[in-house]
Formats: sequence, structure tokens, C-alpha cells
Amino acid sequence: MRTIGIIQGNTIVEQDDGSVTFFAGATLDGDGGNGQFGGLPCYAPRDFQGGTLDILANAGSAGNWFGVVTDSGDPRGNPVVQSSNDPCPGAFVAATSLQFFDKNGKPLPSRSPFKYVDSATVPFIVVPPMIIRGVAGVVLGCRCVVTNTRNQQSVEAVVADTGPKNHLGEISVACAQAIGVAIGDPHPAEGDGAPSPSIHYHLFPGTAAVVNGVTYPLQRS
Amino acid sequence: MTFPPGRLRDASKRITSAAIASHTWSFGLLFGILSISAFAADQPSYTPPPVACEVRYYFREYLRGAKVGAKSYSAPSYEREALPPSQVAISDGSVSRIVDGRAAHLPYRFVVKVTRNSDADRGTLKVNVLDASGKPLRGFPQVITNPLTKTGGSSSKNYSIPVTKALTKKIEKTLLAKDQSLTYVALIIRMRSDVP
Repeated sequence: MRTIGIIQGNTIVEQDDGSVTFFAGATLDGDGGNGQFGGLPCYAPRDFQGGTLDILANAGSAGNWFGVVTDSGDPRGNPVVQSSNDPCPGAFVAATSLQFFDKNGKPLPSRSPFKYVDSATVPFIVVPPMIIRGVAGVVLGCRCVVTNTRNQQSVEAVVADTGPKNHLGEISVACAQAIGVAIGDPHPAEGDGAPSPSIHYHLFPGTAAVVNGVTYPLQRS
Repeated sequence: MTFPPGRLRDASKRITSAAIASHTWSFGLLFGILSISAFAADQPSYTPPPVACEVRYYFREYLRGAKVGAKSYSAPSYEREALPPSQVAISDGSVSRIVDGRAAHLPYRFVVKVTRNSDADRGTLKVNVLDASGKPLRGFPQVITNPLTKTGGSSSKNYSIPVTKALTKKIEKTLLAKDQSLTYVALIIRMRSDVP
């Protein structure tokens, strides 16, 4: 057993079997939600007809689009808007660190809504770089079991996004719903989440996650 | 067994003093309890439940070393600062819960007031944000029908707080860590019982 680090008072431990455990709270991440499976998109222009998982300001603003895919690939570009052929026309495209490939194993275009993991329908978690870089096994795409210790509700999830270095405990909207953590209204990702240390996270680096019948790719960062 | 008269007097004094102190303390405690009960009894039945307010500083972090084509900013997160607890104020039959306070990293004063006039009255929520000179920020005050009526996290209200570029830089420097960029600031208002 080895301590990987401590964030916000919570100790991250690598167990002897290579799995990683920690307790923390849970804030909510709407990133990756692009309406891929009929859920709400994470972000959309102000004149968009329909709801969004998060408020647009959390994606940034002109010249500083930190939270959506842009045409130039950096925050100074213009946000990519989904076309009539995409799952949620008019919405922006929000990314996750974990990305899907096409049938031939080649990266999907960055502007493709299907390249990313859908926060609205897929239980996933977000981890800080300390975990991704701190263990031998591949973390992004790996299996994770998330348990709400207040009600003992548990869900199989995938590690799909990267969080800030000094924050621990963040989950997708679908993950929150699966374990009985309150989401926000009208923006689900603005919910209060769960207090620390009520959520237990058990990661299995190197073991590809299988969630809702989908096997996720293991991705080195 | 006999004791000198002087020692007996001292012992008697100590016992008397202890008894008086004990009675005084008990009386004080009883008075305090009765006062609180009387105060609670004085509050109308339609007194709004306690509210809690906090300021959230949402940010994303630049992910150093991200590969070309990979996501280069983190998922969003936030730092929080709680405003003072709400106080009850009764005036002309209406009763209010008021939060009045400041956040450490903003030059603003927040005044949040939930007011009800009767059991049948859902009430109003008035939110004002004032600058250092006491003038309301643009878009404030805002008054709406009180949304804080249900427990369970289903009735919170969020207000976006405007920040200038200079203030953004200051918050990034004084509150956030290296490589973290402020995306926006929000005032969160909810029932105290819903605070996680």
C-alpha cells in the first residue's frame, strides 16, 4: 500500500493490487455532454432553444473559450457549433480528456460530438493529474466503482476527465443520478453535489471500463 | 473531632459562595433558555426558514504537458466563500431572513432578503449586490417570488456576479492556484438545511 498524495485533506492510496482508493466529496462535471444519446448538451449559445447541463459562463467567453472545442483548437478561436447532422444542432461541443476513436482506430475529428464521453448519460469520474501520472497502470478509460456512503448506492463508472491539481472528487451528471447525489435545476451540473468525504472512489488502472455495455479505450495522457 | 472556629467560618463561606455561584449560573442558564424560547415564540409561524449564501469562484486549469489534440483545460471546479448566517427581522407584520455580508475576494456587499407577510404568502427574494461606494451593481437589486420553499436541494437560486478583467486577475492571483483561470463568479442562495 502506498500513499500517492493528499488533496483537500483526503488521502489517495495505491493498494497492493494496483487499484487506487480515496474518499472525497463530489462536484459535478457536465463536460463531454453533446447530446450524443438524447441528453442535454453541456454548453450552447445564449439563443439556443433548449436546456444545457451547465451555464455558458463556465465554458469561458470570447477569447477565452476554456470549456468548449474551438475552430482553432485553442481558447482564442470560435466555438464549434453542432450542425444539422450532429446529435444536438446549434449546441457547442464540450470535450473530455478521454476520447473515442473511429472503427479503424483513428482519432475522430476534434469537432465531432461523438469523440467525447457524454456526462448526461455515462457515469464517469474526473481525477487530478496526480493520479493519472502517479500510478503505473493507465488511468484514463479505466474501470472505477463509485459509492455514495450515505445511501450505499454504487455504480460502475469510467475515468473520463482530468480535473485541477488541487481538487478531488468530481463526477458526471449521470454518475450523480446513479448514486443519489443531487443535481442542479435548471442546470444539472450546477448542483451542490456531495460533501467530503461521503463518496468512495475505487479505481482499477489498466483495466478498461465497461459501462452500459460499452468498453472504453485505455488512454495514456 | 473538633475544628478551630476560624477554619469552620472559612469552610462555611466557601460553601455559601459556591452555592450562590451555582444558583446564579443555574438562574442564568434558565433565563437564557426562557429568553430563547420566548424569542422563538415571538417569531411568526410564517418566518422563512434559515437561508445560506455562498460565493463560488468557478475556474478551469491549464493542463501542462497535454498532448497535441488532447483537452488542454481541466474540468471546471470552484472555490467557495460562505456569507454570514441569516438573521431574522420583524417589521409591520412582515418577517424577513436577511443575509448581509461580504466575501473576502470581492469588493462587494451582498444583501439577501427573504420576506413573507403571512402563512399564505410564498414571499419574495430580494438580492442586492453593492459596490464599495454603496451603489448596486448593474442588474441589481433583483426581486422574485421566493423560490426557497422546498428542501432537498431542489430550490436554490444562483446569480452570476459581474467581475471586471482587473478583478478577475486579482482573484486569480490571490485565490486560485498557478495555471487556473477564473471563468465566472456566482452567488448561491439556498435553504440552510440543504447545505451539504
